Amino acid sequence: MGLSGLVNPYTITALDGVAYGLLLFVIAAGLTLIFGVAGVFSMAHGTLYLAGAYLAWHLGDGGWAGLGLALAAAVLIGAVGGAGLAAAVRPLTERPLDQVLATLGVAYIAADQFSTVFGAEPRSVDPPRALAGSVSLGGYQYPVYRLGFVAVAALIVVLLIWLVERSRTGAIVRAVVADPDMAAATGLRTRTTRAAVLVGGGILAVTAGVLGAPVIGPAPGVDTTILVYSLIVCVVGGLGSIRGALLAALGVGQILTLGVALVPGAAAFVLAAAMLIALTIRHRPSLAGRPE
Amino acid sequence: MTPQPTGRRHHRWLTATAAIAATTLLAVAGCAGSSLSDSDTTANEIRIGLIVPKSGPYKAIGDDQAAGWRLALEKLDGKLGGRPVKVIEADEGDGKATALASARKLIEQDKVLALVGGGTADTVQTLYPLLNESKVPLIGMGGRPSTIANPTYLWSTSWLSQETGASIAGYLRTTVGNGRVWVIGPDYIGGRDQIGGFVTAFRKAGGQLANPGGEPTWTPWAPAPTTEFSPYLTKIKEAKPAAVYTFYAGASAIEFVKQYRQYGITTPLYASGFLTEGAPLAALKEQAKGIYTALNYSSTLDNAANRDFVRRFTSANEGKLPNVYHVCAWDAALVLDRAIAEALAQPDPPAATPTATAPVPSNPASSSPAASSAAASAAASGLTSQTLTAALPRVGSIDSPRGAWQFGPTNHTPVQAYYLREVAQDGQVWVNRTVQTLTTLGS
Repeated sequence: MGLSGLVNPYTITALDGVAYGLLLFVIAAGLTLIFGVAGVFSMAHGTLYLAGAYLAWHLGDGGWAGLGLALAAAVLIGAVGGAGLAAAVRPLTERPLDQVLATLGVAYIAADQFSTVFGAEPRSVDPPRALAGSVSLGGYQYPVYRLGFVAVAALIVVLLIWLVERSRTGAIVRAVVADPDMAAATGLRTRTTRAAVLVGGGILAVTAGVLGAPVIGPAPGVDTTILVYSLIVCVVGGLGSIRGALLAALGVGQILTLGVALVPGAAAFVLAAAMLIALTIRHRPSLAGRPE
Repeated sequence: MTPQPTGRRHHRWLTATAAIAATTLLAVAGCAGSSLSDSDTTANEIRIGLIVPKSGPYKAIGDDQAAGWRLALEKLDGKLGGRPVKVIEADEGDGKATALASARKLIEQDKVLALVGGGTADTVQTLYPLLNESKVPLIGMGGRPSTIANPTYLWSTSWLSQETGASIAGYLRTTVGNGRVWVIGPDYIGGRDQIGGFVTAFRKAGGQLANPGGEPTWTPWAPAPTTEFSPYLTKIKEAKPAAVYTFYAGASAIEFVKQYRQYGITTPLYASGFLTEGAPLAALKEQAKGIYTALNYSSTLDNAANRDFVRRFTSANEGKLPNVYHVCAWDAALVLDRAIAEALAQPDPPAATPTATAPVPSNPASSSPAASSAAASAAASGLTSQTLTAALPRVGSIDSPRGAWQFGPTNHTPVQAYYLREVAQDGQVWVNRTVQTLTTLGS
């Protein structure tokens, strides 16, 4: 009785919000590091997600082997993509507007290539058969894959927070952010660190594409959708802040699910208002990597 | 982002400039090409400009339209009205600036007799002033806006967006009896037209909506199209309506139906035919089973023109079945074939405007010798964009795979039958099986 009292349309919708928010977090976490830590304004982040989603579609065979293969390929392609971006923007250090143009160009070319290689039709990606069905939660059906995704994403959250805030690698990254000149003077390789962050962010985005494909499937235009949501999460959460991105992503997830259930038609307005508030009220002086 | 100080190292600018130049070249090389081979211009040759989405989110539609058009030209031996045809293709992109630039190039530089194409309503809306100004007709074969006041140069072989929903409203009212219908659709102009057409006709027939407040539910299209339908689906489950009516297309259609199944909604699903037409049906397969939709075509229609069309199409496309975009493009070629023959037979009908001259390009310097000679020879034989436009009302009944239709006098859109279709398996493939004819609409 107690459990079935908890399960009502709003808690089911809120659970969806958590799943959706965590998906947005896994996508945007890479971008917030790339923005905040490496100081690169990448407009090709949605492209990396779309590459992962197409990988899942192309390599997926309805079993665990296909998913494993897609994930392995995602790490490889994410690393190559991140390194490529690092090389492309290296001559453009401290020229954010040019970085935006260059990465936007990369995104356009990639989008064109995707529709040439994979076709312009929207594709549907099914999760591994073991996770394909729905379970009954107190009279409501809920997709098993989303429950599995929540668990995996929670693991990624813990790992990322540990990596950035507790580990030695994270300490180096934060040192490079806080004072690049001093970090360089103490013998840290700032350039290598920045490139490594781009590679890490790339791997995270392509992996998110593989894992997220059954929820947001590959189609032309998905790269833009993902970029828009990622930018909102980064702006609201504060550039370079993993915890901020987590809170922002969960918030955006709730706005897009519980929000539209409670106040239909207000979701777009609430998202814009959240960005406006974040930009005007919260002024963080000299945040890591942000050009002044 | 503040402006950066100038005077940074020279080579960085060079690198950036080179990168931008390379990007531009890549883009240009991707979409030009076809117009450069201009060698065999014969005196009788007709130039037609095909403008469809070749890039961007509507590329799948554009690919289908181009395939349908080419198939029809093949059947007509590469001739329209008995004249050899040179088709010059151009990209309409997302229907805004790209479409306008492409159409201007086709009209002013290539001096085409007519334009065919237009994947989305946006394109038609964008090109409409240019058509009136240049007096070159567009045979539209895709989305058609509801806001065209004077369609003199606009003739569509497709549909009016409101008609699809209106065609099924009476049937659904009878089916659900006193039950209420939950209506949901995307919040952009095409979605509003599609859903609005259903709601107006459904209310007129005495039907009631199950949505809160009795108004349709709109899912946001900005800042990005909705991909998460679970909040709406949970509400539908709570409301226990007799049926759901919806319109989505492309990726949204796939996500909507997938989640409808995943969240275990068992309410019968009725929709505008685009929910299960072409790519969405191919991706959804058995997940779409049992969905009822309304559209002006189904590949399973049993008539001679459709049997011939499906046979030609499947043998040219590895067994793939045609969809409504192929048919509308195919019909555009049939319309032009008739209209050109008509204009050649009777170049100066009483109703036509007396100034039957070739369209005047706004930039005379751009006209090449070949183009002007072709235009001159066409004018000599009495075939111009003007006489073609004057002949379009006289094409009569078109023997289309969707069943015979003719242009309506008001909107220049087909007066055509709409069909109730059910998603079902036919051997290995999933099809929209024709259940019955709903009604005839068009103006």
